[in-house]
Amino acid sequence: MAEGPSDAELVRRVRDADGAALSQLYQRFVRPCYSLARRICVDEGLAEDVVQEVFLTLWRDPTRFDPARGGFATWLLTVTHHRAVDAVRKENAIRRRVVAVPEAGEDWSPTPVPGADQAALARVAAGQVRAALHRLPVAQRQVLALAYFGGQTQSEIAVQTGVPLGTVKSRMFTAVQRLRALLTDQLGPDTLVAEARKMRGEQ
Amino acid sequence: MNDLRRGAACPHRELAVGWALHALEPAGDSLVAAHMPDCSICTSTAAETEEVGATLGLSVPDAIPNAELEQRVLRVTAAKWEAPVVALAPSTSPPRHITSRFWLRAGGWLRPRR
Repeated sequence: MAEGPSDAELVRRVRDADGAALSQLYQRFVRPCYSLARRICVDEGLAEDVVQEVFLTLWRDPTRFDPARGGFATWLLTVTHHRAVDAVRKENAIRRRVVAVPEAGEDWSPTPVPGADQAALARVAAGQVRAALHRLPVAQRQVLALAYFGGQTQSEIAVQTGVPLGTVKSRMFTAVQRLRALLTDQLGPDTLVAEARKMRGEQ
Repeated sequence: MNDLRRGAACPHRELAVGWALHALEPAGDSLVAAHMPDCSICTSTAAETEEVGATLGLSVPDAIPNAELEQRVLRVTAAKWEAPVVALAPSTSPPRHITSRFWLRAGGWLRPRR
């Protein structure tokens, strides 16, 4: 469990240009942010650039985080995801060759990363999310994977999979809807991210 | 019950999911961004989708960044933080101790970013 000021309190202090607060938020979130960026970008250097940009964004304009819309972890991971996808799109020709379309029963995990933490709690939480993913129909899981981890747009997914764009949109919508329901059942009544972070021992 | 589950009626809610996952082409992205402030259904749908996305993000294998990254981040942010606090921003003319040429060359750099 993390001790000390809440995420929201630290963000408030960042608004007052408190560098120590930024440092605390960095310590708290750099690993999940980097892990996500690493998963999407594959390239370590690119992932580090993404993380640097994310924390610089937080520092320059902390008011972008709106507590009324959701938790700080959700916001920061969303920013990380979007920045990582933007980075990947700049190098899309290289990236698309290494994104595999997940098939039924296939593990979503990439090749194990050297130095990756094998903490049991993190594995359990990640395992639960992956288990929920595998309960989705393959077609829904596929569009979600290509969008979220592959950084592809709905139009690009339609072209790649040979499925009409309207179908891609509805599959993505339904996939998120079903996954949210499954995760809520598995992780508990609190917000999904808070529960997932608790299980990883981060909060 | 949340908006995703009850299938609340807005023709753009599927787009809102794509928007939250950063999976729209620029035209669709702009459309949803303009629509969002006026639609509580799409705003809620996007927020719920971002939460699902973040949960997916937490499911990836843990990776450890280079220790040097923290110094990089703190160096970049400290540079902004410690920028000289000089009351330059509203003025279109340089302070007397700065030459016009330097003022033009410096652009916004001398202005505190925060």
